[in-house]
Amino acid sequence: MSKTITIDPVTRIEGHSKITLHLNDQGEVDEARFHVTQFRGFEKFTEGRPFYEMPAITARICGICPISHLLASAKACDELLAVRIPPAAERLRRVLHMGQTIQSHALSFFHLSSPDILLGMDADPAVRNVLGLAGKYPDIARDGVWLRMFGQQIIEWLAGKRVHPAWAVPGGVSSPLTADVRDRILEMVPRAFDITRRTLDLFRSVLNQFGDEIRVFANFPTLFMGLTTPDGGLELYDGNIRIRDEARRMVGDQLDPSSYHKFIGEAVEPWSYLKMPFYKPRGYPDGIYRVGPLARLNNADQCGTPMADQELAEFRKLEAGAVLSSFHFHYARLIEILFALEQVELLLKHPDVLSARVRASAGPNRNEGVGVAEAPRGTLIHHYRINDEGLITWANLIIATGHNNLAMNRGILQAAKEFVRGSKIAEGALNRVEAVIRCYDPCLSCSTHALGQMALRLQLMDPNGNMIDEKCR
Amino acid sequence: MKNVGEFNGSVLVIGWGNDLLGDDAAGRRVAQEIAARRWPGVEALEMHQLTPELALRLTEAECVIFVDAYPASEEDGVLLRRLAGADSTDTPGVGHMGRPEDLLRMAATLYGTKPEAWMIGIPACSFEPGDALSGRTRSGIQQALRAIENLVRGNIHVPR
Repeated sequence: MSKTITIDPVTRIEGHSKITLHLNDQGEVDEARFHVTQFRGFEKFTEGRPFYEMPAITARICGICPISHLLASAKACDELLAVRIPPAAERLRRVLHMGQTIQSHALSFFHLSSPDILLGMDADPAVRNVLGLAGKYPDIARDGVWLRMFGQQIIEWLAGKRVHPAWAVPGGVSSPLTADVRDRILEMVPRAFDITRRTLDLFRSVLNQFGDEIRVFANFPTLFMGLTTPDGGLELYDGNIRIRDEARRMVGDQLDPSSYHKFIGEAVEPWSYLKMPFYKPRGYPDGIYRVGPLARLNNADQCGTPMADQELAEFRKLEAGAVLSSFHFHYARLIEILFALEQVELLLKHPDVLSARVRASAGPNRNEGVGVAEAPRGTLIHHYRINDEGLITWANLIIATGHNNLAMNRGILQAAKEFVRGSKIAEGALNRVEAVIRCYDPCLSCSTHALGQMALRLQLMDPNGNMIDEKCR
Repeated sequence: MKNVGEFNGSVLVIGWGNDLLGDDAAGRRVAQEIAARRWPGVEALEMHQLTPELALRLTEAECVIFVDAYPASEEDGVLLRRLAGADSTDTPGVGHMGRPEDLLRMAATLYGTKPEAWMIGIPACSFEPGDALSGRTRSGIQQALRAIENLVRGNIHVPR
């Protein structure tokens, strides 16, 4: 008799999901699915709203990465206005974005994933959590709290509040930076550097304990997609799209992000609210690709900042081609924190950063606009259409976590085949399957699409594909 | 029970929830109202959700009052309870949604700080997308504000 194991909810990720594992008669995993169980509907209920409300509305998709939505939305609105924002405004948006990157990556590494990494995948679930980490490694836990606080503080000081600030607006930002805020942030940067560098050293020191996980945590060939600078450097706020394959061969470069629909398709599966984006020239599902820190570092020729570039050189030694194991998302995240800190320093020391010219004013001049940015989790696309009165008639959001959906599903299957065996299912085995998902740091609050009916089902399938039991809600 | 003066000006009110999901905004509305009243020694924070760095803020307060909406039946009202907090032995909450008890334990473990802690639950009828509050939740918010005022003035005695 086959059976289905359900992990519900998946712990220590943003949002809610469910994983189903389908075993055959031999107790081997035949199929695994990552079901996203939240329905948010932002794409539909924003229809009819004035376009200039979109940054403030879409920022509320998520409480962890609101800045990413705020910025992608503001950029889409910039396109609707047909304006180029003032240079100081772009710098300030970038500082805000770096603050978001720092806090989000710090949360992901220290609070969501480090319990597995530092306490062990087989540790007692009662202690394999952030409080267990605080008890055994208080210094590391304090570092994590402080680093996330620092990222949030950048956001609050720039934008007025930590969560859902309305500061990034169509045309720029709503207020300039003061010298006092600039100096307060710069004073805190050295401590943030210290924390990040010693955390990188710590992570590298424990890597050899995770050989099995590195081998099977979504370790397979895929394409990698992300924004880069015109000269191929790491880029989180703007730039054009680059796609490389598993050998780091160029598949597409300097692609116009506003034409994403020409090379990104979106499939829908009945068992999840999360869409399945794919690279169109290779079809579905062969056009599987990954986004996020791992993809960005695989894509970029350099970071463009000295400390991050030094770390990137070490990172490249992991593999001859692209780094394929999703376990190394954690490593890439730490390098990106370093990059973000270097960017914060550079940007805040620019003589133009205190300029009072921070917003371009215009009415709607186009009926369609696309804004793309690299959220901490990966490429984020906001695409709007408006009528001549400036009201939204259509919106499409492709969320970072959505891009990774195919890869997450395949990764769960790979890990489940390795760690879930027979009739004795160990807690550590189930946690490893969940841990694959945590590598991607998915933000499921954002990712669910607008259309479709309730699709949450738990099905028990026999080896002949006949459903023998079903539960719906 | 201490009043706000005896707390040496260190009462922290934390209200959280999603303000685009109906009654889930209740905690934030309470925090906004407390902030607007500018009571001496009382700071109010509104959050989307509880997150680990709040443990640092707890080190600055002698008393912390958490406020959130909860899905309620028809008979349920505003809940007020003192939290065991740092002494709790409950298993930590899952995922990113830290509970007040988790924050209190983190503050105690990492920083050695144990503020007096309270939880106020406001009954919620709907968590559907939208920014309107139900009548029950609006009423609950007013009750919560009175409860907070009584707390900071030392007029509430609740058995542990």
